[in-house]
Amino acid sequence: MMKSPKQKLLSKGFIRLLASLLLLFLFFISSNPLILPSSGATQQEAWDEIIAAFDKVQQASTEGIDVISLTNQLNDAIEAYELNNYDSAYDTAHNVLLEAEDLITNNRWSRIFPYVLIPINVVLIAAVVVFFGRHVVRWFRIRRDEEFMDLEIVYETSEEKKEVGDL
Amino acid sequence: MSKKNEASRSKREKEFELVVKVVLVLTIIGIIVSTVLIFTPPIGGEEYAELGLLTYNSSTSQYEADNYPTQVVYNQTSGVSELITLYFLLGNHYHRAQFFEVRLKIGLQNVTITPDIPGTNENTYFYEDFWFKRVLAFDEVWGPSSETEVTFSFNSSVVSKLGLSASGYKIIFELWQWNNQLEAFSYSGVHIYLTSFQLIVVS
Repeated sequence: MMKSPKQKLLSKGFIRLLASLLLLFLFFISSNPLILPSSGATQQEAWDEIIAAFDKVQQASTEGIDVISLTNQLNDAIEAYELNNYDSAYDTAHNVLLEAEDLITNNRWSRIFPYVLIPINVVLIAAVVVFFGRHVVRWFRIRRDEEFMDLEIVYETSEEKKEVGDL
Repeated sequence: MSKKNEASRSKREKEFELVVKVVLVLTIIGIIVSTVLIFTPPIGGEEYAELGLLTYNSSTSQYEADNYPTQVVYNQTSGVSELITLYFLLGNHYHRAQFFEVRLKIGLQNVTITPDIPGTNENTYFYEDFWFKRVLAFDEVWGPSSETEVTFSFNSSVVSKLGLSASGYKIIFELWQWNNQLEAFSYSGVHIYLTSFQLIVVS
């Protein structure tokens, strides 16, 4: 069966889309150090990465974040470094660095979050007060007046009974 | 009577307003105080590191701060001594993660180690094979365990550096901490040593 020009165009577009997705995937893999570990790290590079990771872990711990799992990983990196396995040391330390950065960023957001909630709450309360405040006040006044009226009736009735009794 | 009632009502209203005001003020104070507490990092408490030296008692299967070795036989011909086994424990009680290094050094009995003065390369033997690096989180303690076991000997390098001494040796454990400003380990002042350790020389 012959394809119409429109179908041909569509299939070409589909192939292009696939090719673009493949390129995007390759770019993602090549730019993500978690997927493709670095190789050929020197002793100095591995040590510098360990120190950089420690710096971030310390920063995270100063902000009150639990860093036990990160310190364990960092100790693995140090162990690898001492066994002259600089590639592994570098990669592990780099992962720790990224994780610590993520934790710090998330922690900051969670610290800022209540501040974001405050204006929302204020607006919400203001809206409730503006739209329903008068109704609530009116309801409260009516109820209070009714209570006072009941009290007055009871009082007056008892007074009348007292006067009749006196007579 | 209605006048009396009116007076009572206005009095009650004033009391009600007063109660509302007190409640409002207390609520506002509560909100401010709790907000400040939430966003202020915890403060206070002493910050320190701990370093302990222990031995393993195989009969009780426990680590103890007792029965430390006091002497070892050194074979002058082979240039090695019997093995000495010790365990250390390291604790981080700073309010943040710390990078530590425990350094084993051996010095003569007369070497002075204080919280300000560590053993130097001139007056002690740097046993670098037994320098342990460790990152510890807040309130984390490392050891005593097989990881913190230090099994070493007096070898010819130690003896040739320090010489044979009748008054004995000091086996020193120093705690060093990573200093971000210096970008190097610096002496924390925490140290522990076995003193008057004797070498029994045989040929």
